[in-house]
Amino acid sequence: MVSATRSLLCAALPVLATSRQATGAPVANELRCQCLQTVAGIHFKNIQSLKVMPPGPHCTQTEVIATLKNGREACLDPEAPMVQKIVQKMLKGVPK
Amino acid sequence: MSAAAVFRGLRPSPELLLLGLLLLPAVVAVTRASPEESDGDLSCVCVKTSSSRIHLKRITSLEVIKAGPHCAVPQLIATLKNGSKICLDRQVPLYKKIIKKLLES
Repeated sequence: MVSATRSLLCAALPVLATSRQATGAPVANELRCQCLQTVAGIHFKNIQSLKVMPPGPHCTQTEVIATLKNGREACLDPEAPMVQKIVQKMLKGVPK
Repeated sequence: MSAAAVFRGLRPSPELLLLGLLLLPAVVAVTRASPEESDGDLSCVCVKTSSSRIHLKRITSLEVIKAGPHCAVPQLIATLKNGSKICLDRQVPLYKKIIKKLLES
């Protein structure tokens, strides 16, 4: 079982490597989880929009995807207190 | 009245006119509360916001767009399970609770 899992992971790794940078970047596929990893340290001023997706048939976990001002997307940890603060700050219309 | 009789000639029957008038307000209301698809990046996506009650279970995703050069006010857009999008009034406490609940779920 362990060896089977390992070989499966080895087979999947090249696909992940070629598709895009896996760290914190959402995979553009609506049929499954988009966030493989989450990143920390994204500053509020660099965020342009935030998308929160509750768990559903496609994914068993809550996902938070931030679109940065440079056009990139980053997955944030929904449990991080900073994410709550970022959302509240965005809704208040705090400039910059 | 049979279907053939309804569509006879070009003049619509009074029943069809009444139906159209009844549906018009609903169409207008839906259109106004929905975010515009075009020019989304160059101006405010939300022209009008809704304060209606929306259950958490109906929400597929919730997007918060920060105020910026493209739009002076923050925007809160909910995508429902039926595919439609609704702009929500960010001042409504219920929506803040929904966001908080989403992050905690």
